[in-house]
Amino acid sequence: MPDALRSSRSLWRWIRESSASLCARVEGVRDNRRVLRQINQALILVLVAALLWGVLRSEWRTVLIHARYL
Amino acid sequence: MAEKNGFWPRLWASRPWVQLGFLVLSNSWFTRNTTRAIPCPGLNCYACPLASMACPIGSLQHFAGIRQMPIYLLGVLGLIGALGGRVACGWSCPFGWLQEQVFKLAVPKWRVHPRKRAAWWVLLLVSLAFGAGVWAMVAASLPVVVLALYLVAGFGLYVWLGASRLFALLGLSLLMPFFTLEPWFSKLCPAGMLEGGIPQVLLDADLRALIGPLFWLKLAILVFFAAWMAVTRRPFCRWVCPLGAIWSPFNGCSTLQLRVDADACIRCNRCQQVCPVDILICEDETDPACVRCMQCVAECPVSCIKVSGLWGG
Repeated sequence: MPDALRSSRSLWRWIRESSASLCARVEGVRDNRRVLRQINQALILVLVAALLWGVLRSEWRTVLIHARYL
Repeated sequence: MAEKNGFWPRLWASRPWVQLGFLVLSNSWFTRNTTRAIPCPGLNCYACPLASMACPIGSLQHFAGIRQMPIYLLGVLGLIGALGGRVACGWSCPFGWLQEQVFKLAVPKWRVHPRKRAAWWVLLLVSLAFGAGVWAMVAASLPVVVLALYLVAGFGLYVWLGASRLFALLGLSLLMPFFTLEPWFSKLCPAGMLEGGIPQVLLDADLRALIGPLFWLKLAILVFFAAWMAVTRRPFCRWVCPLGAIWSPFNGCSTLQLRVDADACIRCNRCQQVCPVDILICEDETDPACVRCMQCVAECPVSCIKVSGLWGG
């Protein structure tokens, strides 16, 4: 356990500093085109896989039946 | 001056026709038996007698209600977002198109912007207190309209906290249907009232006999938004739409991107004047509110806003 977590006040400070550091990293990623491209490609791959998996599980049929019921 | 006769400027200029095309496509009654399994890329009520596609938010609530992970739905919506960010809001959402048309009415305009989001711990505390109120009302089996009024008041509270779209997505479209098994966003949705509620009641005499206080509340919500969209640009998209809340985070990492040449920008604010969601794109090209309508690209006097693909050089 980091020293910072020994009391509730330092835990609170640790949470604030960690989230600020995470936000700074995200801000850095926003301007990094290469990283963004990799994120975008990974997202598309995962989402296409999700879409195909959903189709194979016949989830589209659930949507269709519900929509027809209306 | 910007080139106005190329392919892209002409495409940007044809956006109202593309929007109209999607309105017709998502309400082409004769294809409904096959295409209703496809989520509409925009807010279009599938209770509309002409609807030929599924409402993505209605379907999301249905999956929450049956407590099943909507993998197919997330795949479709996520893919639209990953490819174009909020491009569907600007180009294919029928309710977005309607708001833009109503805003053209010659009435005084009111420029207003969503508030800055409150701190996460404030939102957490308010949400816990608000959720406890919902739970108490459901446990006490109060009339549906009382709970509906409580939710409308809650929406006002979340507007003040700058988190009304999160409330519409997480609260009304996911948590409420999950716990109460009722599609609460649809129960209050003005698009649903306009496209589904009113036509259904006009067409079916049996339904007219069932009209209760919830119908009148929903009609009042529709009238409120109709008046608001006449004076403010796309208020539903900016304060309420849960579909926009799903696609907003993708603006920063979608394949389709806008790039602003800050050195060439002359700070004339023309981009904000023509923007349907009233944002200054030259300050933040990945603004989550941007609906990728490309109006700013077409209208920029020095052509410093460009459409760019993330995969390009």
